[in-house]
Amino acid sequence: MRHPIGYAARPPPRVFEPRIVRGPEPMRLIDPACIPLTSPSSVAGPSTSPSRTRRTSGASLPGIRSPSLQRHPPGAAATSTSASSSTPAASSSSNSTSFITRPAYLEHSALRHMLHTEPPPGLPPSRKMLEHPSVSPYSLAAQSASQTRSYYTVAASPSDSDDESTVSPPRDIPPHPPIALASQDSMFRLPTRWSDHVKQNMLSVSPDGRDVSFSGVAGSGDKDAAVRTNHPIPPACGIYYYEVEITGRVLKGHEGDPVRVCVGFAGPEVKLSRIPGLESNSWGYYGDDGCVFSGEKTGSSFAQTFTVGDTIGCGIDFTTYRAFYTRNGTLLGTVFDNVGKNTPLYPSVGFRQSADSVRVNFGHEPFRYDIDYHVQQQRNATWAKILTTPLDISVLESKSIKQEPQSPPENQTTRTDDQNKAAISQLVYSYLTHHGYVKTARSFRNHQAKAGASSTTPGLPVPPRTKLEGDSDVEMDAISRESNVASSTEDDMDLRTRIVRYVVNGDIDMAISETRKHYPQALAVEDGLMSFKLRCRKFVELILEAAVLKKKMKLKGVDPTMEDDIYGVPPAPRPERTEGRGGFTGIGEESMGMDIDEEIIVTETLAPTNGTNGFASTPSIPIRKRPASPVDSLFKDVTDTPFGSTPSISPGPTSAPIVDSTRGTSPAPAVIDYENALNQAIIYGQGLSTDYKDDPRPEVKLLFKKTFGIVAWEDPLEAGGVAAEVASKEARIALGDELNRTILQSQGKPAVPALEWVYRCTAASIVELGRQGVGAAAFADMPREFLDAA
Amino acid sequence: MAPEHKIRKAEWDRRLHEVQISKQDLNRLIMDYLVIEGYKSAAEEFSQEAGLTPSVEYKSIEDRMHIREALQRGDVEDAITRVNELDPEILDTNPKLYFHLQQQKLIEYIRQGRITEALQFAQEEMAPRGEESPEYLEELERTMALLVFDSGPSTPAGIAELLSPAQRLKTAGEVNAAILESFGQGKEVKLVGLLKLLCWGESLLGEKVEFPHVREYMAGLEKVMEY
Repeated sequence: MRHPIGYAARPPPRVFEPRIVRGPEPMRLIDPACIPLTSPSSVAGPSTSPSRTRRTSGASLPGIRSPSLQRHPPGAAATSTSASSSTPAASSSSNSTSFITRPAYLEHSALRHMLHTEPPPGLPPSRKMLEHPSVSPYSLAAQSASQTRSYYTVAASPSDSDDESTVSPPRDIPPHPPIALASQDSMFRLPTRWSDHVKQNMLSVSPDGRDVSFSGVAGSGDKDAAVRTNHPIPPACGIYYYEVEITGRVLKGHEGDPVRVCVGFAGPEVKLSRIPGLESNSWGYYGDDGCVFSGEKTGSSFAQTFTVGDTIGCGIDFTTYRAFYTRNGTLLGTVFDNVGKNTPLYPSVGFRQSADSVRVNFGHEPFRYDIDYHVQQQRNATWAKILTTPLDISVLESKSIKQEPQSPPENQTTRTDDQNKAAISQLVYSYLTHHGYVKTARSFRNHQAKAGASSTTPGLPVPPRTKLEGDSDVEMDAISRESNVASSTEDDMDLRTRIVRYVVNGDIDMAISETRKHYPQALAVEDGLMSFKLRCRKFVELILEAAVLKKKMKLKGVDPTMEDDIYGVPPAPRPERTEGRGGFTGIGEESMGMDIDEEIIVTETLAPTNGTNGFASTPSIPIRKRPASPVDSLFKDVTDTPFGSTPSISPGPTSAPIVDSTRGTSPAPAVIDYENALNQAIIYGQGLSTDYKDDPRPEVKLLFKKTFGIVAWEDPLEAGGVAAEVASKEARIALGDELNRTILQSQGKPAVPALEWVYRCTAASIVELGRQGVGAAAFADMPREFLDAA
Repeated sequence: MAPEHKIRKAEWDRRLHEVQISKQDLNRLIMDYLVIEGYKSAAEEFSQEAGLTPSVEYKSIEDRMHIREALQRGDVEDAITRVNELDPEILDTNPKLYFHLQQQKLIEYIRQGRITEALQFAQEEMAPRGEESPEYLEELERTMALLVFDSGPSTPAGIAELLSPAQRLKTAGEVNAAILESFGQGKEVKLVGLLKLLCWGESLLGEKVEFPHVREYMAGLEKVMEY
């Protein structure tokens, strides 16, 4: 699998900070999440913690809940006969540094980026802390970055997930959450240890949270003892699995005796004085008789009994809400229904006999059972099932769209295959025209038209054949608008693409004048913002031209023989057009004295910066090799688009270079070139300044500042930072995309192609489904199914 | 169950913006569509314009196109020959597909009124296979019923549809998928999968919460969708 683009593309930090033990869960028969926290900030830091929060990293972390505030006083439990007690003695305040990362099988969950074993350091233990963001600033920790692509660009800001249960309704989301808190709700904590507190008081949990043993008197009924984990299982896992090894002592003569241990799951309100399976909302497999229980007194026979030395695996499949068990690495079978459908679910074990104990594996070490394969099978099955969903393209039809005439007038809301096919064609075609893939769009439409003629499949509209066929950019202007919409769509696309290409190639003057001619409204929107942006770029281009000339001038001064090797001189720019106040007839007539075909060697790598999302899209507006400006060749390697594939634009200025007879002997002409260029840039800048200096808009002021900032650098491209960013090829491409969007919008067309909305909306729905506890969403891995190359 | 909770537009917009997707990704989805659906020249143009390499040979796109076209014009024999030229294994290993092609051939005989040939073909080629499985037999019987009804208005829909262009498309789609599979190529267009997932996800989520559906983002699309 390839790496994701953007932020999450960085190699994921696989080593997590040492775990920080959370404070204990409150000990009531209520959802722990419902208990409000006392101000965590006041108790932050290890110094207030009497026991269990050793931090090996040493940093003082705000927001760590102090156990002392939550814990019941020692001894309180002694009188308690029911589940709700904690025994500090038994939990023997421990330093817990048990290390656990997300188990490997969970990589099959498409929502893995939401699943975490621990919060990154510096984060509050509860989302309740969100009310005090100033107390505990979030960091966009990269902890969750997965090795493979996942849905979101940035790792989510973690938060506690105790109350992210399947039954918790979503909270009302603040209308404008700070961006740093963007994915707060996307975080789920995985169970990592037995809880020190959500356990019956005769149980002891080891410091690392993995071992639990029963020291009570043998009993039954209310004298059972159960323990649960620190966190519930997030259904976004898809499938969750853990194993326990039965580790108790074996008395002589009792080898192989079944143990009175029960392994399973329980909800948060289940009594801890009963083994899982006896109370409702709990499920268990009991070693003593091999029966399984689901909220009933009498279990049903399931598999063999188990004993000391056996490893019992216990899984929950949230796509079916059924549990499955394994014994010593072998699948025993699937049991129960509706497990965890209406309750948060915790791993749980129960005991009935003194000296019994178990050691759990929540992913601390490899599992005995091949859970990875199991999950893969289930994932594939789930995905196949999702794909049997009937396709109904009416989901795309905005309500305003009237029913197509041929669709039945009755209550039929679904669409026929043909309608679906036609709509998909439209989706594709609109994408192609949006981004200006002119030839593809035309070819696609022609094919459709041909197919449409020979079958009943509705094709795309067939425009009359015009001289649009083939390369006819030159003729474009002459073509009058056809009344036919498809044809005018393609005319429009041709024009738009050409204008964008001017920008990408650095020929801003042409871009401006063509836009003004064909899309004056695009320049006018937002009080001329687009026009301002283009003119700023023009200024940048002029400065860059000057920088190139300066470089050349210097080189000539130093070593005339180098010039052919390092920097060629671009063709003389076409005569300047008069443009706004910056009109100036400039450097076009200067003789550069070098071969037009020489290309500048790019000594630094200007890697294309892929946008982190489709809004800042990657460069793929086709551009043509056309040295429109001196700096253009600087960029020649940085675009991923094919050059010269179909040069429908005449190959650049044709003014023949005049051989400079003084070449190599006198720097004078080069100096003059440079000074002229600089002069021109400055005059242009002055015009720009006069026009916009009083514009109060922050966006304008900022761009103004950034644009003029580059003058401070001799070579803005090498300056790094903002200057290089402003000067970069990517900035041109981004500007081209922006112009494209602005033109489309000014025509009342969508700024984002429908296909992109489809993808984004689908992804957001899937993630939200995971959040809502729909396990099947975990196996709808869009990046895997749709984006990664097979 | 009516959803009780609502995700506001502003929040949803923020999440949409967070979704990781690039133009290159979408371009590949488009390419996948063009290739699988057999838009050979569009795929060629697109690989130029978007700088993408298609995952299959253009030749194979063309081959599949020809096979599809043959089926769409009713020339089943030509389609079968072409499939076998491409890879004889395809029909050898897909008895069901082969049966459906034979059924299509029978349909075309009947459509053309070549009743004698239709009967001979049914008796010699298809009846023995009908014995192989009840499913085949049922299909055979359904097809033979075409002879009785003579495609009048009284013909039951389930039988008349065999003569529809959709039946040809269905067979062509089946053949296309089998060829793609034999090339180790995904047989379903990813774009279609995406739309199915959208249908699945939105309807399921709609039961849980109220949220802005994709159609709310399609405003303006009608300009493109509705010529």
